[in-house]
Amino acid sequence: MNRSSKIFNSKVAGYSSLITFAVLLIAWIAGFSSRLFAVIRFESIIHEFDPWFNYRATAYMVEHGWYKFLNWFDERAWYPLGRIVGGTVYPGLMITSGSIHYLLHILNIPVHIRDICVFLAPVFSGLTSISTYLLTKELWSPGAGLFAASFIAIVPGYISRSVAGSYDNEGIAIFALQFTYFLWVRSVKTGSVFWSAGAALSYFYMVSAWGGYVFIINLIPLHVFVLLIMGRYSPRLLTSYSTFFILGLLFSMQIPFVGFQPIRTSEHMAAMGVFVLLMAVAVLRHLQSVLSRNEFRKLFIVGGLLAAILVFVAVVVLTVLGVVAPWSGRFYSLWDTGYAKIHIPIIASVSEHQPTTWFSFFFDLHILVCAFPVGLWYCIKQVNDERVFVVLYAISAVYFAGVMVRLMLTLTPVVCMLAGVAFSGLLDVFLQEDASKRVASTTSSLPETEDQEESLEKKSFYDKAGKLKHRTKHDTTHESGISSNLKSIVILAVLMILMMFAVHCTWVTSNAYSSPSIVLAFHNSQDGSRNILDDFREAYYWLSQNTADDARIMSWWDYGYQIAGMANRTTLVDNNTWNNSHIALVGKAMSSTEEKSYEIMTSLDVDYVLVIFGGVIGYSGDDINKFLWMVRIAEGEHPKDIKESDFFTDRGEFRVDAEGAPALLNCLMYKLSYYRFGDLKLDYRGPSGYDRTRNAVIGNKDFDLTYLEEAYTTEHWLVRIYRVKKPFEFNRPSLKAKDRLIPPTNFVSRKNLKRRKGFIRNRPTVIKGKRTLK
Amino acid sequence: MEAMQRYVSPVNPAVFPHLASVLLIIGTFFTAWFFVFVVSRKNTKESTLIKELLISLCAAIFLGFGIVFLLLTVGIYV
Repeated sequence: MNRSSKIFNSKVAGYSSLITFAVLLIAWIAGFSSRLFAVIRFESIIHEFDPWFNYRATAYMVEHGWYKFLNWFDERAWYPLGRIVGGTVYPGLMITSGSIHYLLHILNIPVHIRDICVFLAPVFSGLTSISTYLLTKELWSPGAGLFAASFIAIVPGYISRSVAGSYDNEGIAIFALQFTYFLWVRSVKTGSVFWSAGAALSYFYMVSAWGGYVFIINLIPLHVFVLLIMGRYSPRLLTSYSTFFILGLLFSMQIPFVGFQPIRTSEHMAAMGVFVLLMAVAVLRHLQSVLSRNEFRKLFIVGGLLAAILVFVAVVVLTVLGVVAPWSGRFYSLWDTGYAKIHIPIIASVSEHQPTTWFSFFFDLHILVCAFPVGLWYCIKQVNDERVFVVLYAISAVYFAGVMVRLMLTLTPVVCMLAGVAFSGLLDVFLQEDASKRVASTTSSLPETEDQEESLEKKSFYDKAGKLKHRTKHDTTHESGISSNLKSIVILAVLMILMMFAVHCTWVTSNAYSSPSIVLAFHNSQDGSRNILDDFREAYYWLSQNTADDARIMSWWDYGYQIAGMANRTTLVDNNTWNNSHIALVGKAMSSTEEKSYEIMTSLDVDYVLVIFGGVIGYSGDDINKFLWMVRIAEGEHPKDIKESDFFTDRGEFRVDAEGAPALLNCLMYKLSYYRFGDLKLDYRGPSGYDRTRNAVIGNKDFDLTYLEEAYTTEHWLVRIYRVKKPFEFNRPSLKAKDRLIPPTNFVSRKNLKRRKGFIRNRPTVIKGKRTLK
Repeated sequence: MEAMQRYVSPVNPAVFPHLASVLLIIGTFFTAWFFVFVVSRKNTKESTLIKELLISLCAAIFLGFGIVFLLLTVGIYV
């Protein structure tokens, strides 16, 4: 009996691990393939803006080697300042794809580095779902883990940052985040140095990959702190946290970009404070076991007060002395959402730093956002050390996601995990009797939990594979406490919801998150055909072919990385917005009149100016729509020259038509965008110079450019490039080429072979030192 | 050149897709069997090497040929 049950038991273990394996594999494949929309529709290209820099840096690293990359001084960016790339970049992404490239080439698989960069994020999404499975398994049950893994494989909130071609830090960082949390939870559970050292290593990878590592280094101390407050101190906690903290601190300081920040900035101080506190608690615990109760009480109060005061004073003094840097602007904007708008327009100008609207929660997470409080409630109800962690994770991530759209990304994994817990709990209730009865009919001595898990795993398999009928038939055959009808209805409803979730995910991915943004596609409403606008690449290719190798191109900072990546030309400002005053200078040049901006442009050695103009096709992300941010940023640095109020009409409107503010109608950006646009008739019936993006006829139609000349305008006028004239080119009157004919005269040259040399009659002979005589 | 005969595939190209799917299904089945067999075996003393090798051989043969025909189906002529 015992032996047969053992065999059966192991057989079940075998099948359940097979199912686990299959589910994770399918989740990986599904996650990978749902991220390929952009590649299939367009081609295998790098998307957006930041990925272009990452790609350029990776290509440089692959070409020149790691040490060259580390010492790379990029003179093509931030002209004339340059940029030390090795010290201002999180190198994890480049190292990851570089080593994949290296490995494949060792195996004689000649893959271009671009393809690795394009497909890195989809591949890592599979690893993310596996680490999510592991984490959820630690927190709750394997069934919930499988749910969570399937959810995170296709959830739009994560896909938005990891579609193929979106070669950005977040793509690998979420994997590192989840894996670090898994190792941390494991180490808290076991109290072993091995797991916490693993957590520190994974944290090291995270630090090398993304600035969001600060989230880890604040969340884990918070977990420890809350555990201490709840009186859940244990030697396991002491071991794991002290190992993790010390190793993590040392590791994180190895990244050049991070450097000494972990011991010098306020963002990292919480970890240190909690470390000291944990040590103090450990000492007190020890003393408690040695001293008598009364003595201990006195010591506890006095010591506690003293320690608190000491730590507080130390932090304040260090901050005042400048040893510990105060919070950086981006972190202030996390606490006070209005902060950035007032003080740092450059942070506020990025659309992903805006507060999240409520519907984007539903858009990105669909049903999970409804199920996730249920999972949270389960975790709070049956709390233990590691569930405290997930509760804190959820609460802090919800807050941050509410503050910034971008941080939706950190919320997504925890929502998937808790929704997995919720769904698994739900199915637990509605499948439990069924499972135990079936067990009873086969063998009597099987532990119930094992089979329960197995059935859960089977269950979660269904939201992928869609073998619905089989399972529901099973349910109806069994009678139990809850009526079988009710059970089947609930299960059907759950399956329907999950199916709708999958449909929604695919739809959102296909429609919202799979546009490369350097290739625009729009559907023609008349015949339903799809047009592709490739103006960006057209313009960048023109730049790379028709300008001097060292030509300097001024554009707004959004396009800096793309110009550097695709056209390989020097830019003034780019998406690494580290120098606000330089950006403000460019903003000032764009928002002043032509003469004034010419001064700025000559002082910056600008050769070409590139503007994005969407008025012809109705593209809303163009430079005129971003123009107010340029003005604001310029005003922040040059309040005397640029005033935002000048660019509004009397009634406080921003309009480009005839009623627009004169400062706007005469600024450089306006002129460059609308040069020759007044003559363009887009519609036979409509007026000429009609801007489709802003739905207005432009106000300033007939003007000429004095200091610049049009160099290139792409097919749909999306990108316009102007050449800045040299000073000698506009100071003298210019003649058009066709006017340059010499008027015909009767003059016949008398020069012949004999009298070739002309001479001047009565030419005074000059003798040095003597006055010439006439 | 004229004397050379045009190469004709020994397998009719029309059956490539079916062949690929059938072979892959069989191969996957053997893989799953192997997986369950290995995972569910608790005590390592039992000598099951021959059986393991046989199952894995079957799985490898079917999967290998399945992948070859899959590649042929999609147009990668190996």
